[in-house]
Amino acid sequence: MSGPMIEVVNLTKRYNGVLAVDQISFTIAQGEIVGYLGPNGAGKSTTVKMLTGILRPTEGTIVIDGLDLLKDPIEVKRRIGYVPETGGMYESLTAYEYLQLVGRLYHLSEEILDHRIEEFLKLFGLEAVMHERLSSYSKGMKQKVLISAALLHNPKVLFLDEPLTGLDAHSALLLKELLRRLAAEGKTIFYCSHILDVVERTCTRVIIIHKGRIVADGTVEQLKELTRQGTLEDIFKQLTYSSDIEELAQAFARSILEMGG
Amino acid sequence: MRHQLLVLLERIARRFGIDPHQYWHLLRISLLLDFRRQSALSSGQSTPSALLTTCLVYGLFSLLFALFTFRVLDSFHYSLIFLSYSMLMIAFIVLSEFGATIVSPDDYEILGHRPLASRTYFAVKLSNLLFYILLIGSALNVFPALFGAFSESAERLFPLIYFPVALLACLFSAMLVVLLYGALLRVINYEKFKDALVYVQIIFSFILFFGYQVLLGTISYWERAAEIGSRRALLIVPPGWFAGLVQVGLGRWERDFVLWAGWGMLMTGFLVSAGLRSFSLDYSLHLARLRAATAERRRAQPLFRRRIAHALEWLLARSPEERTAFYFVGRMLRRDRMLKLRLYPALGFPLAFIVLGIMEKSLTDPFLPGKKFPSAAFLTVLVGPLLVMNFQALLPYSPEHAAAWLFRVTPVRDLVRFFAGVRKAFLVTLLLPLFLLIGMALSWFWTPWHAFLHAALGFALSYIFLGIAFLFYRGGFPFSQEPVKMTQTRQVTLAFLSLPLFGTFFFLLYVLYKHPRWPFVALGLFLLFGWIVNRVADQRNARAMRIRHEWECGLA
Repeated sequence: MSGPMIEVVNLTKRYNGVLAVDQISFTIAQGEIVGYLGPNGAGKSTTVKMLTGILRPTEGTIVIDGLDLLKDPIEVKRRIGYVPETGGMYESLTAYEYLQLVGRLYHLSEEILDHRIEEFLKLFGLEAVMHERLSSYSKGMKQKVLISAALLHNPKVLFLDEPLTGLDAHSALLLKELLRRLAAEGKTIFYCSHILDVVERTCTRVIIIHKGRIVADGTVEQLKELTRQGTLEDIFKQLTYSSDIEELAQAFARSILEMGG
Repeated sequence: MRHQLLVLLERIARRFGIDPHQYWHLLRISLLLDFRRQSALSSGQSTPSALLTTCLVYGLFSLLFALFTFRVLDSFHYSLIFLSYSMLMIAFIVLSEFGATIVSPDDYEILGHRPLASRTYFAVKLSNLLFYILLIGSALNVFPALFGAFSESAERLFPLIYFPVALLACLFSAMLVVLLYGALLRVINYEKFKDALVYVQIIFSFILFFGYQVLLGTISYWERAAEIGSRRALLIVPPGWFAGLVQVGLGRWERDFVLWAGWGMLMTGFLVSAGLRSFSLDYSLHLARLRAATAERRRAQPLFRRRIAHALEWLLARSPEERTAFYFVGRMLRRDRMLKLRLYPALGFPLAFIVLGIMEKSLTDPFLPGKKFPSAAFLTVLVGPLLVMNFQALLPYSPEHAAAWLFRVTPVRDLVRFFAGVRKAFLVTLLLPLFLLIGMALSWFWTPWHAFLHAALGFALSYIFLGIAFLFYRGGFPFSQEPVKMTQTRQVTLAFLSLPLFGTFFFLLYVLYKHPRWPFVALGLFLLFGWIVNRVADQRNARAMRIRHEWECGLA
């Protein structure tokens, strides 16, 4: 194995002077599945958007497959696939048309493209509705199309931002197994999520971000040992929450019940 | 031969940094999307039908305009007038309708992570815009081109020369506005760009609207200037360059025409090469920065102002439904980018007519005896119905339309009161302050109570108009539909057609002004009639909403 597939150095993003991501650095090797965790507003999606070239960092460098993202964005984008957290598709198109557009942007030949679209949609159980407009799709069906679009050009690196949103149990299992297989084939996967047990079971390594800074980086076992906690959930709670969650929930429930109605 | 041409075009595109393969597929999809997007709840609100109606109405306007002018102007002034009209209309449409096409960070969210060069992306956006501009430009100029063949000193060749030059002028105008966006993207703090763009667009639209009115009033000036040989001033007026080009095309190689035509071609070349090339290079970067822009945190309103606002809401909107709509629509009138952009430029209308009235000495007090009809005084208050028609046309649309599910799941019991709240928000936020300002402005020139009575009558008639407009409202809950390209331009254009009706109304009113008590009686009657019409409209809308809701539930 040669150098790292993803190399991030001092990555920083400021919005209106407020630090969203603060000097984060990490490297990810080929074939790794890295879980990127953090509470709401920690800077997860901002990091992913910077890594995929959607947002420009305020400071820092991003190197993917040996190429500097800021210097050679087009070449880097050819090598990556991205499943966004929300939206990210033209809903007036049919699933087939949308995937066709995506494939053509990557210059895939029409023959390969047709074959892959049909195959992917069949695997996800969408073949019967592939010529219907995306606006008529459920959330889970749209998510399946987004996942297909990210894999269509066989990327070396996959960025997934909450990929299980809206997926039914069967599709979620399929995706998790697919990720493992892809990693075994040498694909690098950056998995951004809130669902701790999925990350615990799927990822080979976990990075936890809190208030824009990396607070933990290692395998689940390493983190358990380091923090002397039994589960990833406990580690996460210890590193990212200052107040007692049970107390907060109780106060919330009391406030709702006091309103009556 | 065809294959060779394609190869050549591809080579040219690559030379400009455009990937022809990606360009072609993206352009095809972008037009397909425009033509497919349809307001979910409206009947027939789609881009093709809106585009067709807009083109038909613009064609009709141009036909009438051409009929009135082709026998009285020579071919140069005839071209100058129609080119000015076309260029201003195109600039106005690009500003109000295509801002989101050119500067759309949301679109970038979908394509930003794809291997798409900045120039390819920009070329697709620009081509999409030019497609519409060429269609609308054709509608604006086809009749003037045909009639121009019969204008004074023109030749039969005129349509063949004028029409392509007019399209070139329209493209120039559109590109100028696109470059304005580019310049803004460069100089303004990116975090504040979204907000700033609204205000800059408003100011620019305001200037355009004002300029258009002033332009019509300065035809005689240009004619006089032509007579005394000082036409060289047209070097600073872009329509003059293209009018010169038409003359050169007709074989009139006079020094001035050649100078303007040459200057025009030079400026067009400069605009395309220097401006667009540099803008297109940084296009994706600008969009990425916009994507990162977040709304500035607003300071909370002081307690005193909040209490006044609450008291006002309580006084004007007594039921919860009415208060909800009043608050919601009032806030949207102050904050919704699209709404502000389409409504506020109309405020240039009274200002333009007051200035023109001063210039032409027609801003005379209509209550005093005089020989000349005080046109400026009456035209000034036309802003009322203009705003009413625009508001009615724009009310159903918002980029935030998806949030309208809220109204469908919450128990809005009294829909009559809900619609009353919508109207009251418009009256209190926009119409009332506007007519107070008009009254104040006119009182500078007239007896104050004459000025305020005139403004009050304008307000009362606008109030009636509001009721009539809402009788024909079919949009459902406010801001509940996706804005579809060209539909708003269509609606606003159709709204213009109703202005002669309002003008006739006011001409009849002029008769009343000559009697001391009648204006007061008329004011009372208008307000009463307005109240009845508005009440009937609210009931009709509530009934229509209930039927629609039941129909939707039935479908579900």
